[in-house]
Amino acid sequence: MKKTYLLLAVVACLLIASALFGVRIGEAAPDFTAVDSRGGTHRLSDSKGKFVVLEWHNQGCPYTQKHYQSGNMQRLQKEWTARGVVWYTVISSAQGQQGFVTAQQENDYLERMNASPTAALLDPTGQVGHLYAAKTTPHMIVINPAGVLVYDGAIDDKPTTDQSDIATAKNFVSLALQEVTSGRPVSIPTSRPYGCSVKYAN
Amino acid sequence: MKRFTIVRWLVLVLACFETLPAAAQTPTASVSKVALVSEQDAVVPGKQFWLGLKFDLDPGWHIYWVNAGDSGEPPKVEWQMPKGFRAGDIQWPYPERLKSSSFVDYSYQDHVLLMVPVHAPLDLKVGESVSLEGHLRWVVCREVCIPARQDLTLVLPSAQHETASGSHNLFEVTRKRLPKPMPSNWGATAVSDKDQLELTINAGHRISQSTFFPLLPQQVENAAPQQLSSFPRGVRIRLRKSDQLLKPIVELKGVLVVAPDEAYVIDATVRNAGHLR
Repeated sequence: MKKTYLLLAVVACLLIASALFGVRIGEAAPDFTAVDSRGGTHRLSDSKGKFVVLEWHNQGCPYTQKHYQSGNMQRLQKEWTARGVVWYTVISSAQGQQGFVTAQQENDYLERMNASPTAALLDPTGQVGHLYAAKTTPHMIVINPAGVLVYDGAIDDKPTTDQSDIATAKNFVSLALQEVTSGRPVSIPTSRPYGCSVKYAN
Repeated sequence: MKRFTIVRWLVLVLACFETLPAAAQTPTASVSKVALVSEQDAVVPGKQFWLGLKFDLDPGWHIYWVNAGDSGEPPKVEWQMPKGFRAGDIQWPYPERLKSSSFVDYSYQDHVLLMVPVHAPLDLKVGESVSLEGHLRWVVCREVCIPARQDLTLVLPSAQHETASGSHNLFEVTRKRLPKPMPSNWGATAVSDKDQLELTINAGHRISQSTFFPLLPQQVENAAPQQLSSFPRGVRIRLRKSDQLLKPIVELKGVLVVAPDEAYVIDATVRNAGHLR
């Protein structure tokens, strides 16, 4: 019994520590299991051997809207999933917080926006969000086939809500994926993620 | 009350979502009001004068400092000034640390004036009216964020002499909140040790309270508590380095607030703890 408590305490500490420190570039991306808006279960480690993109999402956030109403995010999703990349849209808004959606609401949204991530993961407990210290919507993560974090930061270098900025922005996710898929190191592995704060439970 | 709030946010979010292209064009009069004001009632040829972007925010809403912190972005203005006029950079009053769940933003709430110095040309004719115009973009946040943009115009006469405008006092009050250069007899040094940065301020007297605001993003973890240790000649502040740091920090820049209306610009060279041993 005591041992169980100890184990729980250790696990809790590890969870808290990882939540506090996040993951660093070049380190193993922490594993997680999450349920998507269509009821499917996804375990990150099942995608070993593939590149994985995590996209923190909040459909009511104007920074997210910038990239969806312009079609920019959907273009990226189409392009990279067609090339075998696993793309998870992650929604970490807690129930009662702005941006929380039910599975049905998310499915309606995906259809309406013509979005095509591999899956939209519902993370109302914030477990996945805290594991990666996701700060903003959008906040983008790229994981390589060995399960190592290779990009962590903003979607691009124009931290605004203006769609007109997309055309001239340098897209860090595209850049990272282009580089890693052609066997090169990521030239810009981190940036300050910009957007609305992730609406975790208080 | 709680239910009312949630419903209000839902309505707001929906409204935002439905009308964003339109909302982006119209000022968000309901939560943040902005006006262009001047410290003086006239422009004097060849002299510098001060304009201000005067923000009045509804309770609970905030806008952002030059380094926004973990989310958001600072207001940006593009000036359309008459020929020969030159507008300088926004002078940012020190902000406050605004904590929400696991984040910290550097923000302004309620009321703030963002002051901008403007130089008037020497060949300006006295008696003309001068139209000063700017296009302002900003984001105002509470549980949700609303982007806004607005064209601002202020017409002032040009004259030989100027007198204080009705907004003069607001400029005076705001000026006290602008960070000053660090006194020449102070010293600022920083030591990098594993995941910590220790900033030491030697002021010649004890500093018992202080808050450090990093000017550059991605140097320190904004939400990490700042550990102060006061000593007879100043203060030491332990900051946690940003998780996203890939290269060592060589220079730590920020604003140190030691008391209300007393803030200094800090620019400290960072040494590695290993080199000291």
